[in-house]
Amino acid sequence: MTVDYEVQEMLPEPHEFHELELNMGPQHPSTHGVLRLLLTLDSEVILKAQPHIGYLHRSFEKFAEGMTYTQFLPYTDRLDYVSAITNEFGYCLAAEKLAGIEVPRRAQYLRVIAAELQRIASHLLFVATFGNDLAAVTVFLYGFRDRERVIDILDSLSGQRLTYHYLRLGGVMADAVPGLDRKVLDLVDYLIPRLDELDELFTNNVIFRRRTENVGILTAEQALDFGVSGPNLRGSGVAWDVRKADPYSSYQDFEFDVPTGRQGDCFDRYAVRIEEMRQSLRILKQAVEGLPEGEIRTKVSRNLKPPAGEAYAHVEGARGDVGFFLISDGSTNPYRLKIRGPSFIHTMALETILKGWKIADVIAVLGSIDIVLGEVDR
Amino acid sequence: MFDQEMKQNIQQSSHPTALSAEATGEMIARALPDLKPSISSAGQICRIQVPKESLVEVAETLKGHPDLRFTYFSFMSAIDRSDHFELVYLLQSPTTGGSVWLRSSMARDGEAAPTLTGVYSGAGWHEREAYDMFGIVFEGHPDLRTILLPEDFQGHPLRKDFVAAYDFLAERQ
Amino acid sequence: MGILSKLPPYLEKVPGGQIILTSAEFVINWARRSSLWPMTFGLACCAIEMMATAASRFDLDRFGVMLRATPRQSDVMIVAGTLCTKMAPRLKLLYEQMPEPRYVIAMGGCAIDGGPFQASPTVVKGVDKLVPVDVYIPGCPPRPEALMHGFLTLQEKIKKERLADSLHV
Repeated sequence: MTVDYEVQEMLPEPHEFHELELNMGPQHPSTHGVLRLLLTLDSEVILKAQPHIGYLHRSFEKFAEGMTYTQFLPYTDRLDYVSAITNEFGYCLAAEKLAGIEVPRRAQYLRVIAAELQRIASHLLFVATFGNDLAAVTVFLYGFRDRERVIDILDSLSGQRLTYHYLRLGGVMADAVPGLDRKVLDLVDYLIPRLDELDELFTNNVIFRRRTENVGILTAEQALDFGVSGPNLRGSGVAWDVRKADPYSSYQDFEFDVPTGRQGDCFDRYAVRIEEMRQSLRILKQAVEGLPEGEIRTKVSRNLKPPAGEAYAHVEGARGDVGFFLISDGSTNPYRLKIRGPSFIHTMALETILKGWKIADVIAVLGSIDIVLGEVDR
Repeated sequence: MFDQEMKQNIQQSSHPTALSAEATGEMIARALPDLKPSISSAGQICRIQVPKESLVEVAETLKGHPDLRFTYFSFMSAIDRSDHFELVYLLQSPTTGGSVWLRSSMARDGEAAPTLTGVYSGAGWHEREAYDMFGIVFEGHPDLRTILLPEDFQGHPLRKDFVAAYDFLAERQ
Repeated sequence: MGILSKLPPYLEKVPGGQIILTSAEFVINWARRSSLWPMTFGLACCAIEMMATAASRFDLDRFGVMLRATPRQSDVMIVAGTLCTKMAPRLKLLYEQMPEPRYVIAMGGCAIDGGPFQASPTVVKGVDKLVPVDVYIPGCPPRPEALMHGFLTLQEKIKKERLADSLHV
């Protein structure tokens, strides 16, 4: 039985232009924490993206004024909790500069080993969550599988999986476990083919490429103006790595390259991090093979009273240039601690990056910028 | 395919290393003779102390001067010295490798500070944070409101005279 | 909760009704505890350990636990991380959006009582000031094994529930 329907042309009615305000609220699986993005949309195009932060403000800087230098050290882990060693690193360097403490060479090498292991673990988490956000759940499982291997070594060094408290003022907490060099070299042999496998599965995947290439471009000029650092800055083509620019803790003994991207799109930022993992493996191999003998910690009093003055130390964290500005007035507590969190600055730059892209690109950009809200809100 | 692409972009020797504080000081003194750069006590970074009114001008010169090129705005903060506030800016140059502190002081109450958002867009959120934590008002800032604290929070936590208000959630419901 | 909460008091008095009740409870509790779908309320560091527990090595899926991001489809809310006063109204709202029966797991020191950040004026000293908590998991952050133990404890708790006092707040 056929029925004749009158086909009516659906003519678009003339309507006024309305902006749609969409709230990507503080609880969202893809915002990597409690970030609120207020998006003003014209159908699917973003006209304005306003980040709202402060949902995790735990007043670290005020705490520092109320406790001694040693007491504040475990708190620094909780800042950028995905990459905890690098925060401790920055704080310890600043406090040691302030008090004039020398760190023995063996401790410096152990710090470098811990920091590079942490960088690899953090980048693996980046890859895992980036894949998860772009609906490639397999990458999530693969990334975490490899991350567990890295965390195992850090666990054997410090006893903890996430917030290590491994670095102490004057050195590190515990000596290298016997067989550490074997473990690290095994990890290097294990990870190199895994990264190639990741390249095959994910990086050269056409859907991933289409979603991240030429999306969310941040030019080098904009990046420098905002103060963007780390893989985000290197993705935009600027070769600036604190480990090379301002070497600390015997990084000048190691040979490694600094990868940069070409145009500052999401794919460049991702590719820079993958290549950085390979360079970190290079550093690890050199550090573990050249580990000198000696003390692991200079004796530092628990109620350290540095002379009045100020010190600034910055390290290359997994997310960027983590800086600690410490001012002392001669007492046991710091007078002022200012923490320069790179993710704070990257979230500020989000507003500029997201203008003009579509909603689906928001997820790709957020994932590639790799922010951690602990550092943003402090 | 991917390997070849990435390897083109690996930079080896063209990475600038940090300029010492003395060299940075000399560089700035040559370009801006009337500022007197001094060397910071610990931290080994050159510093410039300027009055609040000439902050914007000095920042523009530091950024735009062809020999200086301090284009990287690292961060900005404030310090509560009990009788005045000290504003602190850290600027770095990826071309020359130099870093410089830009310092200025202002009164604790009643005065407003100039905004640097016209020179560096990165100053935007740092100034908002200083407003939140210290109560410093920045004249000319496009969007000065609280950033980290809840909207109904009273007081400015990083001031030395801040006492936490009563925690109304401390009582069990 | 409709018929399931109105019927048991009557069934208890009918001869043979108790057998029906306990058999029904057995099946219903088994179904509820074997398929707990959590809403991830990952706030801070503990969220990373929660993700690690759901990932390859400490697979949570073998307990029937599937992480859902929306409150409308979840049974249990894992509060992982520090709750700040700016975020507190959202926690309450999301808890009220969850359909009953619903449970709350407070993961980590910060969710239990504020943890290391008790002295901060912007931190809520414990999630149980806003929502009723069923299981507390101490640690900073708790190891994935501890989170799994928390889930198993919650499952034990659900096993002992009785239909007659189905007061799922």
